[in-house]
Amino acid sequence: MWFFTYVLILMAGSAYGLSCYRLLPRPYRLLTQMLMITLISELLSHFLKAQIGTNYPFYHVLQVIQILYYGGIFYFLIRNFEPKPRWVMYIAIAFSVVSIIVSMAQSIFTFPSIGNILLSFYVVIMALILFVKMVKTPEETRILSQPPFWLGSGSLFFYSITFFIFGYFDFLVNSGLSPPKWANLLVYFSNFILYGSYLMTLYLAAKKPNRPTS
Amino acid sequence: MNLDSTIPLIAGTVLVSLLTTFIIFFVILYRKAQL
Repeated sequence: MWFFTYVLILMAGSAYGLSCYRLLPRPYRLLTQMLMITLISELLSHFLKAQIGTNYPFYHVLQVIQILYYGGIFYFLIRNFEPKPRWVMYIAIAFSVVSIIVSMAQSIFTFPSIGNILLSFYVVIMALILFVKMVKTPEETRILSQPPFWLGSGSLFFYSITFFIFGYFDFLVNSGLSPPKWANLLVYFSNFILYGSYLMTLYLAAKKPNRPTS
Repeated sequence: MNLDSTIPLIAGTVLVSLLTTFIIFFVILYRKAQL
């Protein structure tokens, strides 16, 4: 039931993004593409888990794709505040390369993986940098009506939680224990917050398509 | 529920509260910056 609700929210975000794709500025087009890829990956991994008992390899591939997508998204968002912030993409590329190397060294049947922690770390830092830049040059629009606020908040919330939870899972796995039920529920809860805020981001971004990149 | 689960549960609850507080704090800060 939790998984079904999660997929439903993810599907709503992807469908909404696709329905107004032409109206969306570049970072939100990338967000829509990433949501589509995540949705397909989640459905395939659910199917794979039912067939062979594990879906961990999917997450190793997905995390690399997501680091690169987030790199693109934050590149275009931060570009509103500074010209050509190439460092955003360079860090994303470096993190994705490290993630691939670590996945090969760690085995793709390991979860939680170091690549997952790298993804969380990258997104949290970029969301915080985006927030700092937003505060330094505020717009007249209400903060709650600005798409980058919802994108940053959802990302910051979800990836801080997963950074903590997956670190805890890793400790449990190494200790030979299984995760408590609340830990899985917290991951689902933060997923709902993440994809709910992305849906809000796309809704607001589609409402004001005139700005060049946000 | 044993100690292995209780301490992270408290830590998780604190983290969620801190994140929520941070986002509210950011909204207030942004509104002040707009003035």
